[in-house]
Amino acid sequence: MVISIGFEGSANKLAIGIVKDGEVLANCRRTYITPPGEGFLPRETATHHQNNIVSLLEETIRTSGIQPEQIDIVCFTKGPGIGAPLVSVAAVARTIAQLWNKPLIPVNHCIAHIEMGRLITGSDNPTVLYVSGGNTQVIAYSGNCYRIFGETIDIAVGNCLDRFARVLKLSNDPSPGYNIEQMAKNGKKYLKLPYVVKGMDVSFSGILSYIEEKAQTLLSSGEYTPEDLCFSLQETLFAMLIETTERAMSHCQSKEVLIVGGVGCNERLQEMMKIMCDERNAILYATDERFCIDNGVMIAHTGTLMHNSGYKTTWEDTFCTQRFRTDEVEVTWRS
Amino acid sequence: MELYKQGAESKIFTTMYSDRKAIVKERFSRQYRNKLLDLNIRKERTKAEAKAILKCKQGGIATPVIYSLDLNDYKIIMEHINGQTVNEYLTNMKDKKLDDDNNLKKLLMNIGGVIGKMHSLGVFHGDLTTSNIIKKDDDTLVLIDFGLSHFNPSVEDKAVDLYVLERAFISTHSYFEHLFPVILDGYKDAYELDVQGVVNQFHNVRGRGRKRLMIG
Repeated sequence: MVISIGFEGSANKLAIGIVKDGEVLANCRRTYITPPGEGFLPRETATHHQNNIVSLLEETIRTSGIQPEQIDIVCFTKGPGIGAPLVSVAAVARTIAQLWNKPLIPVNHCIAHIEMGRLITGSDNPTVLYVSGGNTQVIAYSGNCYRIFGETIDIAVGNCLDRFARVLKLSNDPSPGYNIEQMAKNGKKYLKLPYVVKGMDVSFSGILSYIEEKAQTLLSSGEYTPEDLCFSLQETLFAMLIETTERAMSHCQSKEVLIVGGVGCNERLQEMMKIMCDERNAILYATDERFCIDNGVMIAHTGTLMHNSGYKTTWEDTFCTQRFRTDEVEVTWRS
Repeated sequence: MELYKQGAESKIFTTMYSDRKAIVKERFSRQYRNKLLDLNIRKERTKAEAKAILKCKQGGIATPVIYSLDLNDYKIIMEHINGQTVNEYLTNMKDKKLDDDNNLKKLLMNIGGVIGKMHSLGVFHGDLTTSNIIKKDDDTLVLIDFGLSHFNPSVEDKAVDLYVLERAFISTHSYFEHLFPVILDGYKDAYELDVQGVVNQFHNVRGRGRKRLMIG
């Protein structure tokens, strides 16, 4: 039996989770929210994390109902992510590991999303669509490695949505993507946008430039409403994601899809993916905001898997890295 | 008509055209996407596919013969190619642990050769994977699935074609990962224009992947 605590803070979410052999004991989170029209910047985000992490740690331990000495391993996000917040959280994880004299396990953030999705949904060997503010990847497991079949060649899908939310001055609470999703529900008129699929890769930056440039004119002329634009943007971006996911499934003859990452809790994306899956007799696995959005439990759980498969941390590995690809990690816990 | 295969965007049926074995490739409506977007994608891709198949064929690259094209129903009836996809062939080789290095290298050289020739003709494929190349029993390689293709590709486009293939190759046939350079060698032999330009750009595109570890 292993009780594991995980620290996550690679972007604007600060999260700590405690897990005991796949059973979630605590899953606490604080989100740094900026005013409408603004994104989060590294320094301010790091300050948010620094100011909140001690009280969040207390809250997590209290919620879990266990004592610090019962914890077996301390896990933290090594990367990928934004430098300053990553380092802030890692410093606390390192300190805790020293204080409590527990092994420290560095975890890849993307892998953690996948492993958490597999744990919660019970999917066995899915094709994974990982979509968030910083990542957009279509992943499948093969030969001890999560291989990236397709990915964005420029910005992430969540980033594209967030930045368009800034154009419309939508609130960042609880997240810009959530507010776009609500607006899109009332959109009717489809605006034709660029559709950029290259093999299994996608590109979003051209679409964003296009809609950013046109938005003011289209809105002030009354031709389109903000709701229409949110709707059109979502429909286009998500169609690209579903298509590339399906290409990967077709290529690997896969019958399962797992959606993870913050954008993964978008219900329209889940609905579109479900239709695609039904059409090809595949099963869709998705989770809700507790586990889709960055959380500490996923770090704790993945750290447990690494620990159980005999992973030993070297000194060099306790540092953070902003660039840490999904396919760089040797997966020792899956056969 | 019998459903033969369902890909990401089309259904393939087997049928007879006059007295020849044929397939019908239908870009069917996808319920998950917006109607307008759906119609547009299906029309553009059916057109692109027919045009590229013809152009390649005129340039001496083996592609299926098109028997009939229906832009209202987004259907192409074309020749049924006997053979197996390179994906199936390589998977088979790996499973049987066949150590047929010479034949394998020849096949990979040929793959590079066909792509080089296609680029020399001014065709960009857009979705090169080992599933989209069929190996006939006489070892002729037939290119299929031109839905994402277009003409007059830039150096960047050509590099992206190679990059997409490399990624598909490595992720599906990790066992043969070390042999991808053989495909590139075949490409270099066959490509008639500024081959170094394409290869350099290919390295640029490769380096572009997000979150790659880098120094500095």
